[in-house]
Amino acid sequence: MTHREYWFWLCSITGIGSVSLRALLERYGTPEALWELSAEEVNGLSQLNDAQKRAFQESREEYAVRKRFDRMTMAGIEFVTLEEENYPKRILQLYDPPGGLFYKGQLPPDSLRSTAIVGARNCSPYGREVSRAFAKALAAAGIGIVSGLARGVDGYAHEGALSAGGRTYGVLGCGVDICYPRQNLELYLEMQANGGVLSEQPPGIQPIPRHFPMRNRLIAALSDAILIVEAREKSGSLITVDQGLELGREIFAVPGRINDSLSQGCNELIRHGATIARSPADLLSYPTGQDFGETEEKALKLPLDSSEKLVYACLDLVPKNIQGIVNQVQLLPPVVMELLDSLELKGLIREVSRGYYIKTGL
Amino acid sequence: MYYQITSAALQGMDVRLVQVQTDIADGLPIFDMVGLPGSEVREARERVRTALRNSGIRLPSKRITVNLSPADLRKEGTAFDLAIAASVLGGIQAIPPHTNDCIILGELGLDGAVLPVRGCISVARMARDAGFGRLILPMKNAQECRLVTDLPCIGLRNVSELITYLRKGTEPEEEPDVSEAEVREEPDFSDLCGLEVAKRAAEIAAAGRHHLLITGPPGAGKTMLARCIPGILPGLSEEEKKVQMELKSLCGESSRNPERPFRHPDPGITPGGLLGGGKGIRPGELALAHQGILYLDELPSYSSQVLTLLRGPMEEGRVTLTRSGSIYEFPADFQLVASMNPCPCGYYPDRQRCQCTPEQILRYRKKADGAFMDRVDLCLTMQPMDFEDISGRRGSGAPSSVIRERVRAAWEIQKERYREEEFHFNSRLPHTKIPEYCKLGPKEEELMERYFTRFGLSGRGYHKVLKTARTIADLDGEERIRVRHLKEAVCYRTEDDIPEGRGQA
Repeated sequence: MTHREYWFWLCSITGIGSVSLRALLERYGTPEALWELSAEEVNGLSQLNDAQKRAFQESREEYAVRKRFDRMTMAGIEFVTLEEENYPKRILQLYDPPGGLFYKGQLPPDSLRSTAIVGARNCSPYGREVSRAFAKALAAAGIGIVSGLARGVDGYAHEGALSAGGRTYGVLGCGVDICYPRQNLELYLEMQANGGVLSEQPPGIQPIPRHFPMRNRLIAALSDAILIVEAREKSGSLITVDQGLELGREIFAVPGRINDSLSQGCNELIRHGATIARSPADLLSYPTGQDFGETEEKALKLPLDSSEKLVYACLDLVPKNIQGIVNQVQLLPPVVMELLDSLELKGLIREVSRGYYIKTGL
Repeated sequence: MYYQITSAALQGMDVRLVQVQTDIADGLPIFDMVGLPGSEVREARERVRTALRNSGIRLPSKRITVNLSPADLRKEGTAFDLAIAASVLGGIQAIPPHTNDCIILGELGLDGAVLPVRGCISVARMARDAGFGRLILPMKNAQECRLVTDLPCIGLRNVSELITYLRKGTEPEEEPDVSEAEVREEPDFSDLCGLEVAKRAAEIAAAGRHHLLITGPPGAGKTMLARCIPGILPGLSEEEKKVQMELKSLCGESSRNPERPFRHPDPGITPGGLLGGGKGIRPGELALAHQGILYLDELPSYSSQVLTLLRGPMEEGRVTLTRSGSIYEFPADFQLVASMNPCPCGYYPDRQRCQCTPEQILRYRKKADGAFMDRVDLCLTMQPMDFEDISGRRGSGAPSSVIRERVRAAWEIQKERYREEEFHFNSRLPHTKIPEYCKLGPKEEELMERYFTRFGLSGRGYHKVLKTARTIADLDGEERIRVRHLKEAVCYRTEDDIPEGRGQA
């Protein structure tokens, strides 16, 4: 077997994670040495528990390992070990970096400035618009967007980055050959051409709850800054933020309405010192020693007449039902509908779901 | 002795003549019924015999054979009792021979009372058309029939009156009709505060008889709005009232001054309950909603089997049933009003309360999606009522009577426009006739092209918008469809609403 195949074997043993791996390598040096261990020596290992020892023994079948490695290569999945040059250096800052990473597409280059965007899976239309808009603006300024391909904020962040023709990377909680969640299949495919999807889980491993906090540490590690868009008080995204703080990453949080439970987590973070993100400019102009230039402000260049202004003024990023608009502007429904059409034509508003409208942009 | 009396059998809404033939011969005393009698008809033997005895007529100890002709048509129901009694009376020569220009129907009680039967209005209609001279039937049924036909209807209370009438020709004393006309307590539009958009959608739906779907959270007022709609529909014409009375009579109910029906079937309704059928082929909910409103509350709670069955009648305007090779038809030109929540919990897109995933939302909406949704032109999305609406502080708007006038005016325009056609309302325009009746000017076409691309309209969706705009223009008193009519129409489109789908680039 080749050296990489030995690494591949070691990284693919079910139940043996990065911490155990690191302990084993510290003691024995190379994957080859571990492969050569006799059965009694394996049983005597203090770094592994019984289940892990069993898995270790069972996995040492050369033919099976090489076959799986070949199949992986044929499927277009790449593998990089932490010894190798192109292993993302940022991840090495972790206490427990994965021994190997599996990926499709590209790995985020060390030279690319990246921002992680995380947030609620069940985000509101406000969260959706914000994720997309921030990702788009940052990507347009040449920043790589890192997230988890999950439903909600993650997906919209990837989407926003792709729409600006930028690069975006998704860290998965399952094998890179599995697209989870299924509804993000299009994104999963598009990202491989404009960035990549990566995972510490070997191909074929299903997404299970235990994997997600593990992958969150990788998201935190791969980024230079973390933006959190919407999060409830006890949200999983806050774990990513904790990891980021440990690594010394800058934390940005998008504020929300004070009575909106979906923004409690974000508002709490801001209170405790996270930088407030009111627009992409807040991230771009942050003094990190690099000036990425101003993003264009979406100026209201198109003139609106007084009735259009009236309708536009009662909309914001929270969806509003057409009856709600009628109640506020006190005009007849057909008149309001005409005004909404005119505003939509000018790109200022959008119907997010039947009968509900929001302001577009920020 | 041989004697023949004419009666009638109901087949759905159609009526077939049945000859009740009696023959009295020597032989062992027996009372035999032939001619494919169903179980109730076979039981008639006991009722007739006892009713006659209690009216003072003893049957001789002879061989009595009663045949219900045609003998290959299955006879059901109790309406033949009276005719059988009359035929037997004729056979024993208790009544003189008569001219066969009358039809006799009625059920008998053991005491000789003549009891009401269902479907007499259909029989009266057929009798009139076929040139019969009179109808002999239960008193209550006669009162009903006199309202719809000028055919002489002799109403009887008991067998003795039958005998008197058939012997001497004296009609029994008239009984005053004490049935009360049904009065439906309908909420008025002015009972609803605010809700201008919803009321506008209801008005458009009523004006063009468009099928309407109302989406909204619980408590938004969907059912209240639906219940107000019959109040803004113009009243029934005399001809239409007769059809309603006939349909009601087929169910065994009588209706003195019918109004437009508002049928609200239970979610557990079966296909049979919806389409009709069962013993005697009674009309189902769809037929009973003819010329009125069929209201389905919480669409996903109806079985998909039942919802699929809506498609045919919505397209044809009638229900067609096939039973043992025979075809039965009922008119079912109804207007569908359906309500549903936007998602399983009901509060989407309010993310403060709604935690439903997009998959859950799509799956929930799919349950209510079916071929029949193709025919629904209007979709209204309501929001929860706020305090201003409930407390009545917001204005209450025009009362139903005012809106009804506008709807009536729109109906007149359509009646005139489609007088040469088979359909009479904008919603029923076949797509081949849309270019003719919904002509668009260049500015309007340009706008529709923009909408076609922007909203990803299908061909059907495009036509629905045009039909709606046509109705809006009619309400506006405009001959031509204008840009503003299209702008409003498109807000009520029913195209797929994908929650949290990918936005435009």
